[in-house]
Amino acid sequence: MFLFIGCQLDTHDYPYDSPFDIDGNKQAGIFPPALTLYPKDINLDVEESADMSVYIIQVTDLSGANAVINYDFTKVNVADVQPGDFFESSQAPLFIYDDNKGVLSIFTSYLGTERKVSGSGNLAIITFKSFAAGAANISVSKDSELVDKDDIPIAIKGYGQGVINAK
Amino acid sequence: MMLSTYIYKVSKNIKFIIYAFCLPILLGQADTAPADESNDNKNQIIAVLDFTPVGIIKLEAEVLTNEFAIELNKTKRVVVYDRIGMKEVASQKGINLEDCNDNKCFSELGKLLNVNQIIIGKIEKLDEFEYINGSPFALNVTMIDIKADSVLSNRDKRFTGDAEVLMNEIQIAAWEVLGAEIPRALLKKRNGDDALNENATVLGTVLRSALVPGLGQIYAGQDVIGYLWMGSGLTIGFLAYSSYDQYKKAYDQSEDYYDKYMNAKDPQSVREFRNLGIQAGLKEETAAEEAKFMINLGLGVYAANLIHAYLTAPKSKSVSASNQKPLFDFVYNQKLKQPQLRFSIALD
Repeated sequence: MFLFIGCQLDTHDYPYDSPFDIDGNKQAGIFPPALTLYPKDINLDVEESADMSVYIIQVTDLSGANAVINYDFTKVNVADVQPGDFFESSQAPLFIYDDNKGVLSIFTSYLGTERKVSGSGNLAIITFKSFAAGAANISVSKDSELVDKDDIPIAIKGYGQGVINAK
Repeated sequence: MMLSTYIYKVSKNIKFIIYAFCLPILLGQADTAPADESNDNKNQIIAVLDFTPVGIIKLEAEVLTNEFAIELNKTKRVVVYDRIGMKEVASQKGINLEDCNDNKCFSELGKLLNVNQIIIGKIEKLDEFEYINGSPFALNVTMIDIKADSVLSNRDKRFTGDAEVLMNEIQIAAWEVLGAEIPRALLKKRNGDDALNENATVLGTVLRSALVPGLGQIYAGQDVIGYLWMGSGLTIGFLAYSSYDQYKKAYDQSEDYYDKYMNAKDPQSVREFRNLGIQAGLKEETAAEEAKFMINLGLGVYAANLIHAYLTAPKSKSVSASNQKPLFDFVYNQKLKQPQLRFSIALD
């Protein structure tokens, strides 16, 4: 009985790093409104793919976003980019991306009747594919932009970072 | 397997369970086998004369005879005539009990005390040497029917040991001379408390202790120690399971809160589940540490129980070998008043 119980005494080590966790983000130095990445850490084998999402946190009256993501193009490449659910409405959002040697630029805008949306949500899902071993840093660039329906910029106070570890 | 043996084993197993739960109450009773009620001597008054001392002083013989008389009363088969009163009555009638060793004297004493039976005996120290493991003694106890002028029973035995062994043998003789079943406590004492089950083997003892802590010791005849091991095992097992149960609850709670945390989008809910999850995580770690401690303790007790079972299990040896005098003895010569190394060879 003792051995049986003894073999089952592992404990959880949860990171508590939900992109929607305001307190967690603040502890990580990310204050809203912010553009973050989730998951922050991905471990995979070379030639494997993994998804990393771009989240927008606590924004008010957002109509359009240009999220610029920098990544280590010597280790990973962008296999695919899909729109997230933040701009989902009766109409599909306008969604365009441009991948250029380590800089992924995603432009998306809300086409709902109110032309604006508030809160937090998933802006885009990026599929990275690893082709070289090592840590590839991923970060949201300060060149990113958020605008309201009058095209007035919304100040971004936090920029997320992530890493893909390939072996 | 014979039916009677099987019934005995089953009844013994049931007794194990009863003892485990009612140990404090039953412990005293467990060491005393019930006396056989069907006996002709029941409640008869019997006189016990001081045993004749040979090689020991008179006072020692008196003390040992008193112990013998007390033990006779414990059998509840006979009532011993008050020995001080007996001496006074005999003295008043001019009977010297020290010289009372023939049937004429016994008959006179019997009439005087109004008893039909009398017990006489002799305690003899056989050797002038005192061995490290005790001295050799001879004990003779005879129960005489005065009217019939016949010996009802007689016990004659030799043994080696110290004063405690001598006392124990005197007490055993009291039961033997009446033909009563000897209490287990006395037999255990005689056998050194670990050889009650002569059929017990090391493997059998260790295997039983491996199955249930203490069971091997009980099997080997060490009831009290066995129940202590069993009690310790059960207590630690219960505490370990209790700690594990708490850990499991905290583990599940931690998992549940984390799932809710990850699925929540509302900042208030995220904050709430984060706090609850972190609290559950702390509880989980504490419970896991407690459970680990109890498990380590339990494994330690389990291992110690196995080692104890192995060390105290009856080792196979012949009965004659256990009674054999060693070739060399370290002895104390009372005449020379000095210790001596003695060499002896058995001629039988």
